[in-house]
Amino acid sequence: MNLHRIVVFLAVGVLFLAYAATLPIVLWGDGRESLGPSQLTDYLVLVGGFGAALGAAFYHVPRLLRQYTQALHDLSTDDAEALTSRLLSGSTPYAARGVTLSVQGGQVDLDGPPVVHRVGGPAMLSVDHNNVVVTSRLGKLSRILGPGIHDLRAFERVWDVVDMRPQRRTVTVKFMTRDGIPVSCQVGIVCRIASSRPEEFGGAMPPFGYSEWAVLKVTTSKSVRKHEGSDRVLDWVTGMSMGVLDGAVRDVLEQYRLDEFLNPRYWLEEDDVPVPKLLPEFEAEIERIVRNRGAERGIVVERIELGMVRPAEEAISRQWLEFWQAKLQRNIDIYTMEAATDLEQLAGDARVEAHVRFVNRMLEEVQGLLGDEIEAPPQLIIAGFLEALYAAVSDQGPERQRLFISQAEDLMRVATTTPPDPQSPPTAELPAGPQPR
Amino acid sequence: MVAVRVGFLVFYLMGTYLLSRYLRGHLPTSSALPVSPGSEPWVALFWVWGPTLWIFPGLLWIGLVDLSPLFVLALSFLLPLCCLSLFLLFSGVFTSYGQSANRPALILVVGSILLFTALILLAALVQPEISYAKFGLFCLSSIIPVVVSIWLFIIWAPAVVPMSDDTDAPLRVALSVVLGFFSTAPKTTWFVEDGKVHKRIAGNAGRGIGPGLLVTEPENVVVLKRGSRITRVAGPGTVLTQRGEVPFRVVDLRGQTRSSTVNAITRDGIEVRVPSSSAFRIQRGSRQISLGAPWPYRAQRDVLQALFAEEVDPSGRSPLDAHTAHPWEDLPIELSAHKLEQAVSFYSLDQLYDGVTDAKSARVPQDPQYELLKTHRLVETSLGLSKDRQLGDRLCRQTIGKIVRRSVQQALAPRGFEITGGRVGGPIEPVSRAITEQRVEAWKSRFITKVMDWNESIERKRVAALGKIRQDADSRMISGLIAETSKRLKDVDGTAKRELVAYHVLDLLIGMARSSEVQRRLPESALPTLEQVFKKIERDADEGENP
Repeated sequence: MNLHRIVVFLAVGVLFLAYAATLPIVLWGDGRESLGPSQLTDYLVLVGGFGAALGAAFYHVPRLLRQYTQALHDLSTDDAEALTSRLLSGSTPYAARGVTLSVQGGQVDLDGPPVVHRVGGPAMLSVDHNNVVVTSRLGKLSRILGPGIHDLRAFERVWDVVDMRPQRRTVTVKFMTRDGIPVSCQVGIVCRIASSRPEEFGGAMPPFGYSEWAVLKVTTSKSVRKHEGSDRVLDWVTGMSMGVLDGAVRDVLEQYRLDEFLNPRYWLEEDDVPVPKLLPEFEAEIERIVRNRGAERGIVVERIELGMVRPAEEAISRQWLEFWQAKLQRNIDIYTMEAATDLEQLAGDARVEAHVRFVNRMLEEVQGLLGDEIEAPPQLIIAGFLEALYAAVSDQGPERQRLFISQAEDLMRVATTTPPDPQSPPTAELPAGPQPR
Repeated sequence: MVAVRVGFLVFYLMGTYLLSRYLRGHLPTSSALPVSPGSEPWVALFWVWGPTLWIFPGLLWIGLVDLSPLFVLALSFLLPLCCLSLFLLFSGVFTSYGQSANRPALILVVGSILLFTALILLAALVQPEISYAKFGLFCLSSIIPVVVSIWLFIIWAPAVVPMSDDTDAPLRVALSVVLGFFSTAPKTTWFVEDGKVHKRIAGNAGRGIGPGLLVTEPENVVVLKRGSRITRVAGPGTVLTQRGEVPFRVVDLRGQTRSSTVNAITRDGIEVRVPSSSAFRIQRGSRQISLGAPWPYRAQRDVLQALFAEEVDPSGRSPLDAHTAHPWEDLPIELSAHKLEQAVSFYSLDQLYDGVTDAKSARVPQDPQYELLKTHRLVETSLGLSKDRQLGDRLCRQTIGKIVRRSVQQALAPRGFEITGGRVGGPIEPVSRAITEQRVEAWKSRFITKVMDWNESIERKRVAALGKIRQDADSRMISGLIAETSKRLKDVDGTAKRELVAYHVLDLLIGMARSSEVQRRLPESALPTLEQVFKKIERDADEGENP
């Protein structure tokens, strides 16, 4: 109960007592004689009437003011009565008992008294250990209240709440690479309001220390981004993530080409491919920029978490996949090629053996025909053989061509001119061919 | 008489209780009690003190004071009324805040009441049997409750009226506001909530009693107008409005951010989508926000100029709101979009993604950065800006954003705007997907070339290996044949050698000629001829064998 009310009670009480004391003296003498029943009744009626009039005045004026308050703040009768009572009684712990507005988890408790939230005090304000409140009173910013129980003065209300806990936000930043390819990356930020210095708390920092400058800076630097809607005002964390972080990421990463973020070709150790920058390098650069900008706003950026740069076009990912597949396919192709070559080798060997066997069998049969006269001129056949041999070996190396031709000519020479000498080897110069298997 | 007094007391108590109950749910409104000019004080008096039934405490004295009941009745009514009238007169509530015309009428009425009461008092005092003590106590018992209620009203009214601590004459203001409310003809009270003006106590801004009240949020100011004339910029805080003043517009002093996307065409004819944003606020000057002080702004002129910069553009609007001005907050981004469109048209698409990364290179005429820097300068000059020594950022869009921001700042600073930021706020994307796809294709070509190189090298190896195998096979085959033929010739006599060789090689030739690779190299008639000869020999051989 405030001084006003005590004075009022005292004054009204004194008046009443004075009236009650004076009344019998004035009406019935000096009061030495006892009053009769009718006198007593009159006395009680007069005292009662006067007391009722004083009581009516005492009750009636707050009722009038309650009506005004009800109309002014558009409240229900009960709320207006409670508010008027608090306004007239002042913000004493007794009067404000039961009317406590809690702030926790970065916001005003929505189940709390709506009148205190809308109109303001007098009331108690309970601020949780990880919150800070900025109050306003009648159109001016009033106080910054840290964790604890506080008295809200008349019409002082919660203007903004700052959650002191580290805040994490993740945003997807879309940007164009220097070579004009749309890409995106996810980036996270962990930040909080700048702490005050320990000496401000007498050496003992509360769990979530705060700097009044930072809190004021953060709460008053919110910006309005549209006329309507619940999200028309950008809060400080969103401002950091959507405004500062988003811009910094884009400003840094747009300086590079896509291959500088991720280039599978570089890892094949090709000489002409630029070295891709490593993700931590980008992250460090972005973090430095965001930290500086955060410090200007009273915000401490604890860390930045930069995700991989991902191309927006599916064709890019598909190309990477195809390249990766081609890289694997290359080994498969080499293996397949070697296997095919081996098979070809085997097939070639088999073909040669078959040819040789066939020719041998044919020769054996020809030997049986030697007694008969052959009309086809042998020279023509031999010349044709030589010609065909030339053609067959024409796609081979010159050394090999010379060798075959020399062997063929020796063979022909043996066949046409030289009588057989069973003791001497007929084709001493001929190379030994592979033995048929 | 005792019973009468008891009856009065009971009636008084019951009446007070019932009236209080009734009035609990009924607010004073002009519809509840019609009010005519000049009658407002008495309407207020009726609403405020009428329910106290002030006449009854005096009526209880009937028969106890040495006066006729008529005197008691008159004095019980008039004495408190005098106190209330004097309070109404001296409080100045009904004669100030544009109501000075009421003063003579009020003085006249109050004077009449006082005079009449004085006459009644005089008549009572000259009664022969009057006891002055009883009469005095009777008068006090009639007056004291009213005086107490006036006193309570005086000390409590300022507590419920939201007034700044620095309000002049807070008591008079509080009484004026509250009594004005109970006169049922007050001036209007407004609250600004969420940037919008809400009328809380309906009234008459011109002829209403007392001052009007306007309570803003910390971050708002309100432009007031009287009739068709702008009067002032009020707030932030609690503002007492003068006669005829009504809120015209709420102006948010906080920083504003607006963004939009501009479709612009580059100098090489490519349409691109450029997101832009602009950050601004009402010119704050060098003032800083601090606790206990109003949200700062440089001058009322800045607020008004920003407000009067609003433009009417009926395009895209219905006939109903065609003449509604676009909000002042949209002006910077609209201007920014226009400047941005102009600026982008100076650059090629490739330049938009480029930047000045090396200041030395940018001074070499053959370097693309030199060309870019030259374009920046051209844009700067074309937009009428002074030369910036630091022109040229690592990204072209950063430089464009800065140039546009300077241009907007130059245009809007005289209109009370403080441009605090502005940039090309997102990726510049070609409108046509074909552009992006083409760029992706160009990027892909590097990979495709590489893969083709790989495939080609494998194919090369494969062909080389196969060629070698074939060469080896052919070599071995021919060598084998020759070796075998030579070996067999050793066992054949001289006359038969030629025929044997001929037959053998003929067969070999046919075999070789049938091979597709050999056949390609021979004339078309070679194979049939060989086969014909071979058949002839074969036939001759058959004939020789079977004559």
